[in-house]
Amino acid sequence: MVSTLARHRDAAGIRRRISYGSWTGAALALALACAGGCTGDEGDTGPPGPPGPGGGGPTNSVLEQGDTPPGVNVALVALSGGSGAGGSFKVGDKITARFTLTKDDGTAWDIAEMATGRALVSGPTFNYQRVLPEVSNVATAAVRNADGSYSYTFAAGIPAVYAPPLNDTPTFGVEDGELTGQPLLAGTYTLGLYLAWNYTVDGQGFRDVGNTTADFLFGGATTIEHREVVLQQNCNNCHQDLQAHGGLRHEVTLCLLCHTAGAEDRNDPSVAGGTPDVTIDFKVMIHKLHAGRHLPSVLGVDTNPDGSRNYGATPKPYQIVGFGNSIHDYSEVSFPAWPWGLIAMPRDQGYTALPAAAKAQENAIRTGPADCAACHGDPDGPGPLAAPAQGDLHKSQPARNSCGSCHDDVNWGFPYTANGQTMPSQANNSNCVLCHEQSGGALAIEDAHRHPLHDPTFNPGLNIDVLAVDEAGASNGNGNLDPGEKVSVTFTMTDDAGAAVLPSVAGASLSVVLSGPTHNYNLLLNGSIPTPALSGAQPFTVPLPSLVQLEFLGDSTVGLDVFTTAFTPHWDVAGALTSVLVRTASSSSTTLAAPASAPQNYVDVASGAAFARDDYVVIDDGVAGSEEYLRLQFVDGNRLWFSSPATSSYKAGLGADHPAGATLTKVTLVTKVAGTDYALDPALGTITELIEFGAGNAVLATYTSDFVMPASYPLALNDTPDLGEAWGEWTGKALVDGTYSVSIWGSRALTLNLYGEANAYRGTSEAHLADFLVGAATTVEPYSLISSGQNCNDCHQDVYFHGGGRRGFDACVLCHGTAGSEDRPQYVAANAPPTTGATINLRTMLHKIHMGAELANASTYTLVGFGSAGWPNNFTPHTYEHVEFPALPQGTKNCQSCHGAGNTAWHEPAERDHPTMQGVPVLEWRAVCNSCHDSSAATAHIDLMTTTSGVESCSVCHQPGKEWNVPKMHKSY
Amino acid sequence: MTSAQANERLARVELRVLALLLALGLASFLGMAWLLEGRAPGEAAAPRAAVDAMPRAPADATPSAEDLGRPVATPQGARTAQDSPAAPEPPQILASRDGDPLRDPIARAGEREHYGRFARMAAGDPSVLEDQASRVLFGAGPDSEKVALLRALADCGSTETGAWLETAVRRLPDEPSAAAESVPAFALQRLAGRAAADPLARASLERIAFGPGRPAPERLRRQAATALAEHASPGELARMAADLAGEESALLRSSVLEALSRNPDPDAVAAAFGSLPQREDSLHPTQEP
Repeated sequence: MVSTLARHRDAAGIRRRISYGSWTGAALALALACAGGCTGDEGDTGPPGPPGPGGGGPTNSVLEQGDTPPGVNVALVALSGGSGAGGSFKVGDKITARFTLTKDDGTAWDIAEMATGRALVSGPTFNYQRVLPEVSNVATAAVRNADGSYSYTFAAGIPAVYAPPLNDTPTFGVEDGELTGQPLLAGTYTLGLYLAWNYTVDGQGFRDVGNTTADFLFGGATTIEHREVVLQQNCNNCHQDLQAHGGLRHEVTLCLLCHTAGAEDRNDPSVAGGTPDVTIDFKVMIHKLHAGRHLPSVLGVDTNPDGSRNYGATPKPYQIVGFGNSIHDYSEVSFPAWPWGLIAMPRDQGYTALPAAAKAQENAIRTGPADCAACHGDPDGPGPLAAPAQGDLHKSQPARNSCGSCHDDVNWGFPYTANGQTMPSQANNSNCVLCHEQSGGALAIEDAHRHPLHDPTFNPGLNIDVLAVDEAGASNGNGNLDPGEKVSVTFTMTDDAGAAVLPSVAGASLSVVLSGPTHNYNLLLNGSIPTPALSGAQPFTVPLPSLVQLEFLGDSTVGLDVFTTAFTPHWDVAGALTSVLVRTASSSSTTLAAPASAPQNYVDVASGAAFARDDYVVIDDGVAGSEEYLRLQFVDGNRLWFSSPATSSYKAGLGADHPAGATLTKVTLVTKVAGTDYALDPALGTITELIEFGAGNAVLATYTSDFVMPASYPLALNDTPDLGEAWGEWTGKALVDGTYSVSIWGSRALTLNLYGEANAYRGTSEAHLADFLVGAATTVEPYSLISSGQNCNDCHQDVYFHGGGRRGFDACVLCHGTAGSEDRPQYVAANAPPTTGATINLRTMLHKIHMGAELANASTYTLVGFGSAGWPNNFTPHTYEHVEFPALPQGTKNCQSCHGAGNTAWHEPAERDHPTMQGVPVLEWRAVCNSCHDSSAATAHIDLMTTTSGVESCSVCHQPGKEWNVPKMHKSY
Repeated sequence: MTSAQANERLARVELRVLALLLALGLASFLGMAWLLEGRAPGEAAAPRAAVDAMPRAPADATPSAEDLGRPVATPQGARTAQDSPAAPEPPQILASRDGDPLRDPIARAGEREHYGRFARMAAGDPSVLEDQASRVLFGAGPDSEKVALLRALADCGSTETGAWLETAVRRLPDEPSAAAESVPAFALQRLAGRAAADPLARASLERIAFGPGRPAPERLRRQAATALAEHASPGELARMAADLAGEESALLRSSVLEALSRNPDPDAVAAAFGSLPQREDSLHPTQEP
């Protein structure tokens, strides 16, 4: 009996300790109970006890980097105090909110530990007004209930009329939805409650915050109508954990309770010159701040009294003055949803006649956020979440303030003329729906915001599905690709309705890229499949193509010769025709100043003075096995540059090794005419003279044949000596067994003629990537640095780049995933910045781009890309200082935002040394860490921790399990 | 022992050697500084190049004619190496430059933090920032600080912005890295961005490309000339034609001739240069392939 009582007491004690929030205490109590002589049966456990205020004393609020704060979870259990039917509320009722306050482990908080506890009431949900302005005594005035929950009762009863909005002035009024001083309307109202616990991490202060809201009925309303125009997840797709105001407010519904109709910013005349017409009404502010750099007001565009556009207005930054009179400038914000953000919406009537500066303003406006579904639609596609219940309100309730938030060139007091129609001035919202219906017309909201590429009547879609990657031609038939074997691909081309499309729909060619192995992509092929080569019924099976340039076939002799090319067959179809060139003259000559090895894409010569861009040259003229012809892309003093796989306009690099002292001679090449000068047998690769080419003249051929898996890796994209094997580039090294990838895509050329303007679009297919095995590899190991390309689409919706010619992560990764790839070099665009050592490899470039404004060198990190001007100005320098990574808190420290929740590749860079031919270690850590940590101090640290022989010691401290491991240091608070 | 372990061991050995060498080097350097210049260890040294003390008064912001003349427009009172052969006084070095950069919060800060500091400094009175311009631009701080200063000058509406941009182009070292373009290149980009609407900016570009005095590196002259060609007025085009005739850099000439095709006044271009060169559209398509 004694032992049974003791057991019961102990059991009660255990329950209490658990409820106090200390698992340690529970374990101790259990241990004591057992040590006390636990014999016999355990008896009944008894009902769970109520949660008590946090046991074990105050919660430790002094944390170190890597520690996890306890979490603050506040949940409203009930609202009481309503004197109306069914407990609904009336004017004068005092609301009591009963809530629980727990940690992430389920134990209860002592509310006295909360540094902040606030509550407020706003409503009705269809047009939020302030009702009970925020009170801040929740943490001190709430009463603990017997069950461990807390109750807080507002001191004031529900008033008869609405309170003024925040920072109210006469600027906004009834027409803006503001109901200050008017009697409360019947409807659904919302109570918001949030509490915060303060803590430090290594001395820096943070808040652990819990937010909650609950709806209740007021004034005879009988049905709860929750406001749900966006879901929290719509915000968190980009923001991860939406928060504002020092981290105190997280829930979007809570935001609505203060950002009510007519609410304004601080509008202090001494700050930013005053902001007298800035509202923080949620539906206005959120639209505007996501449209920042595309707002007509920011760009200096407004409307003349006659309704026409005025492109000479004074640009006005979009600034909100907030807490402490801090100025929040959103003038550079660009919404990342694509294609809208990159590929402009159609031109308005008269665009072509605008001056260049006005066109630039229009272009910025036309790339503003118009992907309404990103915020108002289904946030997770095929996932479990449904679209927000009231998401379609953005289509059914057009209004001056919500529409005018983005279209802020509209002056509601003036007419507004666009595309041959004029909207009269609008005194209120009553007439909006008369013209702007939900869908079905040019002025309908859904239609006007739909991107042409998403309009199936304009862009039926193009989908390329790679079904198989196989050995082709002579092979060992083992299913794996080996050096020397040809590669065939089998694929289909369909539209979005699933119907087969003709190859010609995709224009002249499809793009194809082949890279591998997946753990350290190196480029093997960057080419194109001429669509005339695709024939017959689908699926198409074709070998991958390879462009052979300026192949030396031999010297012509007296009499009609027959020459045979090294590779067969010749494709010789439109877009890939064979051309034969004959050397007819020689001129300036020099010698190599240094040995040059294949596939090097430059030679250093004794004197480059006599050479110019686009000269054809021969090296080792007359030396058997070494004589080769190239075309100079750039003469940089005594360095003569050829090219890289980034373009087919020039032969990329040397095909043979040449010693120092080898001759280099400028030659004249004349193109011969097929059928007249020579006859081609494409299958055999024979070229037969029909007219004598001239005895002693060298004969060359440029042609497309089947791609053959090489024995070694070719040049990288835009290759220069700046980046070599220390950056994982394996150019010239033996092919490594493993998983390789091929990706194919194409585009429809589309023209939208609208309002007298021609709008060119590309209906680009997503790249379809297929993995295959090379050599002795046995298991397909897909690219794994991120969990899925879909992670990009969480923010970007649909990844487009390069003028819309590349779509989807799989189009990016096979070029930008490759080691050693560089931005546009000066040998392509001579007047471009040198950007020496800059790489376009994703592991560096993508980190840097998304760091953007957070980079120590934000405005000066530069990548050189395509430019539409002529040589030598054919480049565009790109900088990313305006990019703000939207993940909260702490932006780019949210590694999982891009890498994926379950992905651990970012915890430690994987080895990328070539298994047999690595000369110097790969700078695996520098490539990724130095991309974000780019300050001179951080770079000095990396330099110091890398030996002179290139060995990195980063893992000593930063690998998993070590003191400053990557996940720990990137944990955000 | 795996290769990783071997590498790690090698790294440790090399690091110890490096640390020892660095310690010895640092001690020697500080000792020499103490002996030669009488400065305390850790106290920042003056920049190698003698630098003018930059004044604060704004350059003339209202040109009397569309085409400005050639005088060098450094901030008023500023002297160039040419007009001031005597060694000018070095600028005062910011106190924050003292000390270990790893421990120095300003040295650790990036462009955003520097910009925020300058923006606060300039709030309501750009002259406060203008007072700092010389010391920051010619100080030993990181490039990100100099870039932030130039940005802040522009954003706070300083009338000296153009002059300081030109000064940065002409007088700071052009030392780009993989992580960042040089400060002069940044300043030149900003000047180029103002060229369409600002004759003062075009005058700066003209001086950088073709002016007398300390020449900018050729790549900066080239880019300045290119930007100028795109936006030059008739008077500027006429001078540019004369300048190009004596220009030694073939690439600069090519860059300018190509850029002239984008000048909004083709008649003026033709008057100054004759017929325009043809674009190489076959190799350089206007739509990204």
